[in-house]
Amino acid sequence: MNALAIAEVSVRRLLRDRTSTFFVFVLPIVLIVVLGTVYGGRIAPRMGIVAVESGALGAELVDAIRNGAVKLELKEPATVEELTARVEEGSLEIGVIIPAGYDAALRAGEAATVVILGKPESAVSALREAVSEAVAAQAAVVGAARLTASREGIPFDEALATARTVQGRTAGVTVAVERIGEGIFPAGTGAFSPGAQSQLVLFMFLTSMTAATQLILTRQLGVSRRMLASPIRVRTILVGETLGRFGVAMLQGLFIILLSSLAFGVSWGDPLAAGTIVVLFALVGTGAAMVIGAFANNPDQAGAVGVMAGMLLGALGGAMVPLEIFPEPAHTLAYLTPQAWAIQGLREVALRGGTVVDVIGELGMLVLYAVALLAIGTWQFRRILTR
Amino acid sequence: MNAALVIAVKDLRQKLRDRSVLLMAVLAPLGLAFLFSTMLPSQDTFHTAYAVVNLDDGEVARGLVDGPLAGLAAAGVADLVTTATEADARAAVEAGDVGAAIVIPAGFTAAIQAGQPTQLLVIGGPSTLPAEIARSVLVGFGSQVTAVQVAVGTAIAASGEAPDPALARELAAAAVAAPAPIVLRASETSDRSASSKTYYGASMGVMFVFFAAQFGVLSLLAERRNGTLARMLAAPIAPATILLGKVLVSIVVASISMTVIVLATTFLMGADWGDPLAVAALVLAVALAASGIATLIVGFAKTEEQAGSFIAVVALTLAVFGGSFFPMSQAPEAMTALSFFTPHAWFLRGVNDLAAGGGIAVVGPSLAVLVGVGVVTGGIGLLRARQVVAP
Repeated sequence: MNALAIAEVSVRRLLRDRTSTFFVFVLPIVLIVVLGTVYGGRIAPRMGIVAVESGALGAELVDAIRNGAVKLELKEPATVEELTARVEEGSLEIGVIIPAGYDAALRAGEAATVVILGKPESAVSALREAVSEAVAAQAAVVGAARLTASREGIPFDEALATARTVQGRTAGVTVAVERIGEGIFPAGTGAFSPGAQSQLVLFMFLTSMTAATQLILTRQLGVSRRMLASPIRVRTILVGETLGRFGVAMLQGLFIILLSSLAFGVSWGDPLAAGTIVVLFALVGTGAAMVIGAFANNPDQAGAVGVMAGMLLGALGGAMVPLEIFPEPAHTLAYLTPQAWAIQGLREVALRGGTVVDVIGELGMLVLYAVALLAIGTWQFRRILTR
Repeated sequence: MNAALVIAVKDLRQKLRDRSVLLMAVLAPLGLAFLFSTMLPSQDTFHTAYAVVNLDDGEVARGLVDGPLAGLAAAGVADLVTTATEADARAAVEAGDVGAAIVIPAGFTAAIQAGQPTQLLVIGGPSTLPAEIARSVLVGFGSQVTAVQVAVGTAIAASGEAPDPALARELAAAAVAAPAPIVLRASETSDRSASSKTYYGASMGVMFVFFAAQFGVLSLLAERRNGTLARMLAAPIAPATILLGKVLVSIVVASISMTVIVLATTFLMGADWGDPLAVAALVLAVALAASGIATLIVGFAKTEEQAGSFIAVVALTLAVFGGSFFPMSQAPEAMTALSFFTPHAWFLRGVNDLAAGGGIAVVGPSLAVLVGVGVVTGGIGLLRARQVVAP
């Protein structure tokens, strides 16, 4: 009962501090929204195309690129200068210039030149291939029309129409693509889902870390000494303080889960499995907060170390950039952090319909981290409390 | 002036001894920049391997393998591994030994020569890019083959003659010999975006420079609480001098923080920031902007804690919207436009502009905005802060 009262004070102190409320309630949501719009809303790489006064065949080529097999977002800047500037700054992956008089040149039997603008690093790009595919298809009908027009002495347009009909019924060489294994994120993953899991893990840990400073303040202000003077047992104080940190972490976690599922339609999957991961990760955060709170000497130090640890472990554990795209050895190193295990478990549950059985390994790792950190933290806290 | 310098030097000495200053101003941004630049796969080079299964003995299939596919290998894009059966190729894709497999079916050449449809197969793995590139190369080859078929078909259809193998061969030869009507030319633009190592150094640096800039002006509130400010005011020092000293400390700590990051990322991580003079100007300008914003917040705050936490809130919000966490060039256009309301975006734009070479002139707009932000916010902040130092 006393332990619960001590815990309650911790949670209340957090809620009363306006800065904490920003970090706990506002920042995570801002990040989920921004990340969701930056990455989730984007369906395809961007290409720019300038086809000013390129005529009917130019317009046809633009349509062919737009509707080709490679998914892309087509932008049409007004001038070549604007196109070049946007390719240089990277907001367009490549730029395509279909020259003025393109249509006329092709009809007159001349060679027309289509230019692809790109940075050296975009040398290998699906977009370049999309352009060359569309160009090849158009070159085929134009070439066929030229050959036929000159052999049969018929007008180019008539030959072109015939060539289009023939192209339509020529089966030619097709290319089928099949895929083995699943993509990084399964199809149908919502824009906000991967972001929500990472933010949950990042912020539960960061909030626990800020709660570590409270632990030091409790000591500095003499609150813990006064508690010791009262007939409360040391063990009760320890349990209460631990429960307080745990309450703060859980508050943060539940807030993100509830808001993201209600406001952004993020699905968290099997409640039992997801819930177990969240509770265990809250315990890991609690343990880390107890360790820092017990070893640090002043609140400033604990604050700085805590935020640093939260950010660095978050970054390394895949809470900022998806683990799935880490190269080696970073990918292996990431699994030294509890964050990586928690995110991997949450993804398995939310995106692939995993249950407790599927994430038993992740749960086990989180239990290990939680037990180790809590043991060290409470041991040291007890030592300085009774010193 | 002299008094302002004395105050600044005393404060600086104190700050340099403070471990949390070192942590926030130098170690945190460096650590994150290092993590990001090692964690993220380098996008500058792409290389994969393809398993090629040629089940056809004909000349067209050989043309494909020796032509476009050999070209991929020669260009250094992909290594080619010849595999005997489709099952072996699948196994290689599944094991992750190759990025994708390319299967040329039996009877490929015969089907093409007979004008029959035929299909090439690409088997892709979890990463889509290798399969997409393989597909595009095959489609490119296929469309050349198809182009000849279309030319032959069109000429025969227009002439109304019966399809005759000899005529078809003659037409095909003419179609192959004709010059390509459309030429595709690749043109390289200069690169106005910094390498990922430079970018992460810059983005983490600019995020933490706002924390670094707080230390000078924040101590104003601390000194008021401790009563040392009243004692300074009792001495024959003008209040403006004290303010100047504190602002100087903010600018210097912020500049040191950013400079250490520039130097460390350059010498330890291989970042390339570009023209030193322009980088120095950018560093100073962003230090000014960050100090200005910190002064503004201090001017309106009541206590040190309040100011400190509000600075953290402002710094992180600006960092999120300004592109410190992800390159804004990839974001929807409205987000990119929004980002230019933050000093972060202007600083990062300056860093990107320098990537193409060029000197201080190319970062002119960024410098103007950053200095402007610093002067305006700092000016308002100082006007307000006069009340803090008013005796």
